[in-house]
Amino acid sequence: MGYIDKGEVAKKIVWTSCVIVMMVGIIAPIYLLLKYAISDPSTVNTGGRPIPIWPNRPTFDMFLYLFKDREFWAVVANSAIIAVSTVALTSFLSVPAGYVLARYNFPLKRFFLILLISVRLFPDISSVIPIATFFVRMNLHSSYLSVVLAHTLLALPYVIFMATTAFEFVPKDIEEQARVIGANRVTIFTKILVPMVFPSLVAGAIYTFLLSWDEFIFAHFLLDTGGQIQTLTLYLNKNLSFSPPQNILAAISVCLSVPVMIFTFIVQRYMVSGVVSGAVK
Amino acid sequence: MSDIWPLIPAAIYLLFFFMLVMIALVTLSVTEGDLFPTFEPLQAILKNTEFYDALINTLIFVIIGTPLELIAGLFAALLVYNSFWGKTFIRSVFVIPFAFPGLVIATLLFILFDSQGGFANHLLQGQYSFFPKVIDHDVAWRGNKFLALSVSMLGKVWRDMPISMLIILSGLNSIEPELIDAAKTMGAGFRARLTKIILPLVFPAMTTVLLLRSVEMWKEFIFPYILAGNYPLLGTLIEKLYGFGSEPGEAAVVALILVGLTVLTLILIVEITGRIKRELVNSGVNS
Amino acid sequence: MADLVLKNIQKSYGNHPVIHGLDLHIKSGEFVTLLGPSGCGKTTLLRMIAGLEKIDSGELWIGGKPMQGLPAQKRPIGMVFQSYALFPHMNVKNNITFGLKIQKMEEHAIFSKLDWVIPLLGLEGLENRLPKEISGGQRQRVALARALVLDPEVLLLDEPLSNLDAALRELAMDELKRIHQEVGKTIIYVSHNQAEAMTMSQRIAVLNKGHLEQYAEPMRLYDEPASRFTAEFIGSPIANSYVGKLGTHDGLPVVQTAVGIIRISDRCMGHVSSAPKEIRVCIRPQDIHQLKNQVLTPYCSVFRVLPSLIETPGDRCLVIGKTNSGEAVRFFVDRVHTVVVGEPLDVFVSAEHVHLFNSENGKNILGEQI
Repeated sequence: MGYIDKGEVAKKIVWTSCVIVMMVGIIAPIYLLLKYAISDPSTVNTGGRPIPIWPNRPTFDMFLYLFKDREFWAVVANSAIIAVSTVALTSFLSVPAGYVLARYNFPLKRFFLILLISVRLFPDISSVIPIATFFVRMNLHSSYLSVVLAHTLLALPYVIFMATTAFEFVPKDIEEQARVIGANRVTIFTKILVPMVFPSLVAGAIYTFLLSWDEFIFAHFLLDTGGQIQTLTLYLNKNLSFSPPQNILAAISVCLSVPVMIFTFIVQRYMVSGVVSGAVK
Repeated sequence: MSDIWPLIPAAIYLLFFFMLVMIALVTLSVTEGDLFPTFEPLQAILKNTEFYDALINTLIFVIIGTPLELIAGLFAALLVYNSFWGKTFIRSVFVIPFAFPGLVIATLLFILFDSQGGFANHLLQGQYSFFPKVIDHDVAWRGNKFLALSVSMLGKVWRDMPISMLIILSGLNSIEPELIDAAKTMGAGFRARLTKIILPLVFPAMTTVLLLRSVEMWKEFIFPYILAGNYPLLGTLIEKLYGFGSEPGEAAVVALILVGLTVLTLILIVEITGRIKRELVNSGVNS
Repeated sequence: MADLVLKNIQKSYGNHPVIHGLDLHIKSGEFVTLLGPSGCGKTTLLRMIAGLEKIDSGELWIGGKPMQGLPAQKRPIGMVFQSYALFPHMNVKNNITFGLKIQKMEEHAIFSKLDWVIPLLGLEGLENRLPKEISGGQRQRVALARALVLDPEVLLLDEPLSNLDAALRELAMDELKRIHQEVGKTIIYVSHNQAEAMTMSQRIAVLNKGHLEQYAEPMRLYDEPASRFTAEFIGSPIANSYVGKLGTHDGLPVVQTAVGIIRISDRCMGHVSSAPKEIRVCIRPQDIHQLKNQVLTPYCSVFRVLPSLIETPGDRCLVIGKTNSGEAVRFFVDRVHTVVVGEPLDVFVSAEHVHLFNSENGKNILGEQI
């Protein structure tokens, strides 16, 4: 027979209610976003009657409308090109840097770490002014390159931290063993070290991709100044100012969120440890 | 020394942009058209009532939003930490907001808090059986400074709660379970364990949250940009001055002030939390 | 009176039972050790007494009051953890007074408690240090002081000495015994170290795989092990163990083993007459003696061994030898030069030191009904 502890039961009830309240608070807005995205016009404009909790006529018309729009695909392509280029540049810079930080102590290491933290904590809305001005002067504004360079700057400190943590987990013995066998340093790095830390590097790459895909401030300052290039976030913002039907806004929002949600769940484990270690360091 | 060459490209990249940002920001802030150096941008800002508005709005945003993020994160983390079942599942659900871009959440709130017949208005007017009637007429959510900034903060806190939660949760998970058991055998009930053991021990994690979140709050842009267009924060004011106003000098002045205030806040938090920590250690029989 | 009574206590994790219907009665003021190898359930049992672990079924009484359903914070217990679990953010004084402040005890009463416990455990001058600033032995004493000031009816100690080095551990054992005598609390001590248990306890509960093997005074455990497990677990090095058959020789009870025919206690006679069964014979190395010119009683059995290895751990030497049949025999001799590897010698064992166990259930045959 078990024994019923009244305090325990009360605690369970309070806990369960709190969890349910939190879950509703988290899931309800997401549900509403998805609901708006599949709503027909009569569900959005009800003329004063309560907006239905479930669409009168669920429809994918908004998505079909978007998918038939050439501009939408051009925008998605822009976002993807910028994000992928940012991933490439960030990886190229961060992986060797992370390796050095994990393996060697050198006089300027402290200085470099402080630089890393300063860049990471510097308000983006403040740094965007000089960077945008610089690119205007270099005649680089409204170009892919300017946004890629800016996004790389945003992602770099965080991804270097991730890479450093990953390399710290690889025992030094393995490297020394390879050197004894006669492998040169480039071989050791590409054939032994990188494969061992691959999952973390993938997580870093995904983080970078998402950062770039979601980024609004730099894209806005660098591209919204009369150029031709538009990213998905800028496209959503532009539509907001035109005040189109709400279901279109919701549909664009869903398109913007889908890759983020998929990737976040794939790499949640790495993101969690990354966020925490990045925060603590 | 020769071994650290792989670091050099990243170091140059970061150093270049950091120097560029610092130097250009200062230079821009003392440039007005062809005039250099000049305090005209600074004077213009100090005469601009919108700047003081933005400053006070942002200050309120920081003072309320930072603790709010801490409380939300702490609350969620404690729920996960003390979970009776499904710890991993609950944590995964609580992390979901983090998976949405800020712009998407801002857009969603833009839709929900529509001034005419939006979902929030319908809900609060008691049009659904599951929610009580709170207001009689449609509320213009974006036409009122208090409401517009409140909705912005709601979105910000909702979207960033998981980060605070994860940091605090890692602090909680590093508490040795035997410490909690020991407190139990010494007669400490749930509340005593929470206030005397758990909270003091996650204090470093809470400090981290405060530091990171205060920076985030000072520089907040996307939520007020979408949801409170008429009521600027420093972030949105910078954008307005640079874009609309074509006053890069004035924008740079505000940007520099923002950096200064952020640094000041960080120092203040470190100082205050340091004092609290010393107090925690020393609070004894005499307290 | 703060007797502690466990009745038919059961506990399992999922489908895996860890404690099977355990009964134990600990008298007020007694120092009892729960002894067993890791995984035997001793710590689980202690945590159940503390209220940190749920009891699946059975009864737990402390001082005549039922404890089931009471959370740890309401039980009249104090506990010292293996890691000491000192609160890292509180100095020594605050660690010790933590429980008193929870009870909202008056300030002057708290001070008088401190005045009592700090000299008792020799913590003078450490009051304002943080746990990380004091040594392991000091931490252990703070943990003990912290439990003692609460004046618990039962003090639970979970391997509190296992994190100390050997020299410190002996000091701490003496200290613990002295404190037990001074405060007269019921103490339940958990350990996997039989020497520690034998030194300190008044009674020892030997646990194995969630069963109580034997609950007795230390010397009784040693001299009259109730099971093969106890015989092999208590005492070091491990006892000699042989397969044997009960029988009679010249009308006297004996056991036939590969080592030879060994005379056993007259009390076994009743068992001999029942059907001959295979049994397990255990003899401690300490109970086998070299035959020189002692006068042997009729209860002694002599056999010849060929020493193959001699270990000298200290004042005595452990000899490992073989009988004609190839069985290993371990025994102690006083002087190394009386034994030479490869030179056979005679050893003897007295009947009362020959422990016989049922091969199937491992129980001492003397404890079994005929």
